[in-house]
Amino acid sequence: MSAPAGQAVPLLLGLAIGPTIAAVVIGIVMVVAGIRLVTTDNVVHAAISLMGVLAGVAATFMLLGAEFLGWTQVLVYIGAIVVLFLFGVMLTRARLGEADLDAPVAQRWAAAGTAVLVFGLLTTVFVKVFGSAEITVVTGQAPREPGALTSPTTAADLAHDLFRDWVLPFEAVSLVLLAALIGAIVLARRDDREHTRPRVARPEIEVIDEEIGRGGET
Amino acid sequence: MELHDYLPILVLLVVALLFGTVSRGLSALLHPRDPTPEKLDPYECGIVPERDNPERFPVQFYLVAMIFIAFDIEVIFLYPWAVLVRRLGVFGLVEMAVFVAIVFVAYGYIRREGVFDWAPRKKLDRTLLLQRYRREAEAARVASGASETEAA
Amino acid sequence: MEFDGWTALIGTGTVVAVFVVVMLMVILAVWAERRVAAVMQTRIGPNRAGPFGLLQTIADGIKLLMKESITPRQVDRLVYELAPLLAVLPAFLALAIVPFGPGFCIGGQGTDCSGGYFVDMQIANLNVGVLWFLSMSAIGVYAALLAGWGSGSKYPLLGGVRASAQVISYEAALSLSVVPVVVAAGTLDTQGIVLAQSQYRWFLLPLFIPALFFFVAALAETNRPPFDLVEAESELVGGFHTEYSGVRFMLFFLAEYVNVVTISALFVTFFLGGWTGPYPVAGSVNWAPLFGAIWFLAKTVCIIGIFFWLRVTLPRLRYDQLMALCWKRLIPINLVYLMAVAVWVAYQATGDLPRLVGGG
Repeated sequence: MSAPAGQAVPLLLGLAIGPTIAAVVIGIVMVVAGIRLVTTDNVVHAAISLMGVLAGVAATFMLLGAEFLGWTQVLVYIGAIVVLFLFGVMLTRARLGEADLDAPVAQRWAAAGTAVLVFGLLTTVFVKVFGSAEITVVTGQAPREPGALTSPTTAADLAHDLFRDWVLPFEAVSLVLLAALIGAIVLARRDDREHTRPRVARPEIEVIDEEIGRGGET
Repeated sequence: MELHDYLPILVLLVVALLFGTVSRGLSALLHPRDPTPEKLDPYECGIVPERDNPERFPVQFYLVAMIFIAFDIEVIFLYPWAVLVRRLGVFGLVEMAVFVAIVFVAYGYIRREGVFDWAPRKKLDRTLLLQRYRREAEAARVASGASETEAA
Repeated sequence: MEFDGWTALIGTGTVVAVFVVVMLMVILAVWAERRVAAVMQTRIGPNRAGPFGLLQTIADGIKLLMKESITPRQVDRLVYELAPLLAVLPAFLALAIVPFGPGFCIGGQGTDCSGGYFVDMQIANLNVGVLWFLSMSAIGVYAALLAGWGSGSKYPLLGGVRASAQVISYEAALSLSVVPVVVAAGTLDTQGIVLAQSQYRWFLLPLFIPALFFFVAALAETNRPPFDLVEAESELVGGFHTEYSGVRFMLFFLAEYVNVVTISALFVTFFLGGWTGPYPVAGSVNWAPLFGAIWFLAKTVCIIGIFFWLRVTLPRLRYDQLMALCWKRLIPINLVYLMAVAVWVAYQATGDLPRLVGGG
């Protein structure tokens, strides 16, 4: 079903119509979800809005031709990280209703300032670096020109870049995962009087001596 | 990728949404409405609810979600690699073996820490029990030995 | 091929056809499950509505539509209403990448079907098909999680948290057991995976362990017995959907069976050669695509049958056994097996060892 390469796309003011409309729609959805995310009092509603924002990011990736990356975004962020957030919410404050997120006013201003700064920084960086760059969406198995700013569309393209050109960062990811996993355990474990080694907290039951058919202690 | 590959999926989404909303709408037309205070209560097997919802869950649920993220990311890296493994040759194999091995170290640690043991932990663990059996057996042996020597 | 009205019509037609076929399969599956269970337990099972009770599911559906759909007082409206939709939508969307048969050409000539239209017998032939399926089952987690939380009562909350921990754990196992298939086929696209298994090179034999693990994970992922701890009546009443009644419950119920159909179809795709079969389906015979679809559905029905068989046979696991099985057995063994498969495939692809060492 692939269109012939280099097919003329209908343009309006130098912009491709279809992708532009899609980008605008995605942008609106993301902004609305983002505003809801920070204004709602209910943490679970906030998490649902966050899903909307993340889905928008995934859609943007796909619009830029990075299909694999887009679905990775869905799989990892929506499928795993928001689940973790929700678990966090439910495990600590399972009660229904408004969670009091009454951050002090000073904190809110600081947060707003940070948000504006980050926005400015990212926009500047992206415009400076990629402002005039055009992404060539390479369809199918078409060969990619070396050095050209093309989107690694297929999994194979991505694998080629990742496992040939970016070996060290890739291996570094495994160390990050290692650190994250060990960090998770360190946070969750507790010292136990009966054992020399600290263990992850978990419910305990007394072993009843009758269960093993023995008399009382000593 | 062609974005219009996704158009049929959009149609499918619409069909599924229609299915959901139409059945909801039909039901709204057909179903009786007779709410009573008892029906609207949270389910509690017919008795009056006395206790609030549990506020705290075992931390292991959270840990599983954390570990899942790590493994999910690992699997995500495995997919493009799997597509290209033929062309990457030994280099690719070694690369991924190192990656998997490093994550496996973490896995071993987690496993040793008992994150995957969900049964309530017995306070008296097996080694302690064995020690106690040995002690008792030893005591019994000494006692019987003593009685034998006495008899002799 | 340009995109025009006919393409749109074919696309929509495919969607409707798949939807109808799957709904029929679901309706029959619900009935068959009860009949199979009845036979195995020397009961009769539903036999009143229609011949052999075939219309039982439809009768149940109508009943559920007409039942009072109670919204308990303590629910969080938004979350409570969203949860059934989040169960149904990913369940149907996951169907998009199931290849029901080989593609065929209408009105065109030659292998590239010039001048005609190529019909895929699959809603979308994505080149990230496997990833699409995994993403959809990842979104499916929210159904249980949000239903549990949104209901605002004890049993759903416990059931929801349990369910989501189970589903994410087994999702890790599920996605890991598909990787060897991708290694063996060299593609993420489901049609390509089927083609890689043509001429009886089914992945079931070389990848027996991943196939077995995929099946186990599929049972757990769809909350089917013996992994139905989520709705263990004796402890959790109905689990996460305790507070749902009428049509909302129906949507959860339906989503479960759609998931069973999808995952069985994908088992067939990944391990049982998809639509390939003993009768030539390579396009040499008229109606070859139809035969392909028949083979595919027949294999899928067999897998669904195993789901039912296991339901009647096996007792429910304990939660600690469930977690231990996933994290201590399935995941590590799968990783080791995967590396072995990768070494073998890379060796086969390069032909001999020196070239393998030299890189491709």
